[in-house]
Amino acid sequence: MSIREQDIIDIYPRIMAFAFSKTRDKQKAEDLVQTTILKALENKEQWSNVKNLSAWLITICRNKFLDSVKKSTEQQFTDTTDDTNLVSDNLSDDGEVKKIFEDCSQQLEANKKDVLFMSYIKGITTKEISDIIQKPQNTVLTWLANAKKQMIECIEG
Amino acid sequence: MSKIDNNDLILFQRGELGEERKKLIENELRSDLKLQQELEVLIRADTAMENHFTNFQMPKDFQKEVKKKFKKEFNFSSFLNPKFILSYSSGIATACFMFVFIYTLDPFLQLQGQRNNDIVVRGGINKNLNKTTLPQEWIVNENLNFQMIKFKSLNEQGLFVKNNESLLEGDKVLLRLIPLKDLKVSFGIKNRENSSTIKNNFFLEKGKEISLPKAISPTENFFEVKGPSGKETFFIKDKNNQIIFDFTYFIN
Repeated sequence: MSIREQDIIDIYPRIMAFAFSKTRDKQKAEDLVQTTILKALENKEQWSNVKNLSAWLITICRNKFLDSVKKSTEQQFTDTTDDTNLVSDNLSDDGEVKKIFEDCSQQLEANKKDVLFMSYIKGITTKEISDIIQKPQNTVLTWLANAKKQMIECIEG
Repeated sequence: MSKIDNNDLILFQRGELGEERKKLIENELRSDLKLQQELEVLIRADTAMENHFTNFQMPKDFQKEVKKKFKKEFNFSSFLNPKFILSYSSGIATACFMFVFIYTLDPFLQLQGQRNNDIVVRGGINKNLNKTTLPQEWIVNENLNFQMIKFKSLNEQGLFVKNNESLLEGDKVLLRLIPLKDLKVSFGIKNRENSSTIKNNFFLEKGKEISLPKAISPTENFFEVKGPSGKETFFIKDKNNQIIFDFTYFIN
């Protein structure tokens, strides 16, 4: 497929949101996403094999995050930290609503959270999400429905 | 709610359902209040998520970096890359083949080539003539290129004579021919109803220019226009006595 500059600009906020949900640190999320995008853009020979840019980028991003978690001694990224100050520190200009949103999203189970954020990346289907996380599509749909409900209950609760 | 669950609603929201299932859900939503409320929760979650994404616009410096990646980099050495050579060499080969193919069919191209290429044999042309004084217009048919050139004197610019143009008695003319194929021909003139042959069994060699009368009478440089006045036609016949070219002018 051909990849346009605008495609990358459009997709960036949603991949960032996904990365931020994983790292809970805006700077680390940016590093993760930007290295993902640069890696994708440098591998031009692979573009012809890419059927879905969103699915490709989110797969690279997720794999990079998982790699970093494996390198636990480096503690480059973390998915389990309870240090919620990171959120408020890095989103210092954000209001109360945003902090509530972040708190709520952190209460989701990791799998549900992944599915929730992936589902908002444009052009990606629930079938493609199920391929990425290697779970049945019905499981993805159930997790997604539950995650949305849980988020609203938490935010509005 | 019995027929439709939350998974269906998610697929419905995302436009991932088939037409039939989509219509079924649309119908259910019209009457099923609980289903409407379920969908509303999902929509509110979408709104909250969309608001959240506005926090993560691409920074300007990274935008510049992305832009750079999309700029085409010119690398001269890439021309030497075997893959690249293959990609354009087939195009060049095709273009050459097409040129040769069209060249063999198109007399204009052949003519142009002969005009501009000194290697072409110009056997019969009058050596006394300054080539720069010769006109550039030609009459072309499938067998040959033809010029009738009118001279007032050897030092003057030769004038191209068009079909059906008038000549004066005493005008000096020469004929130039470039055959497009090997031909055995005869040259003749028809004035009113009288035909006369100038030369029989003359061999025209493809691409070799000749001038008349020099080619058939080496001591003669020009034909001199003579009467009777009226319409006259110069013709060329092939070996089967079929006219393959004719040129008409009027003598005043």
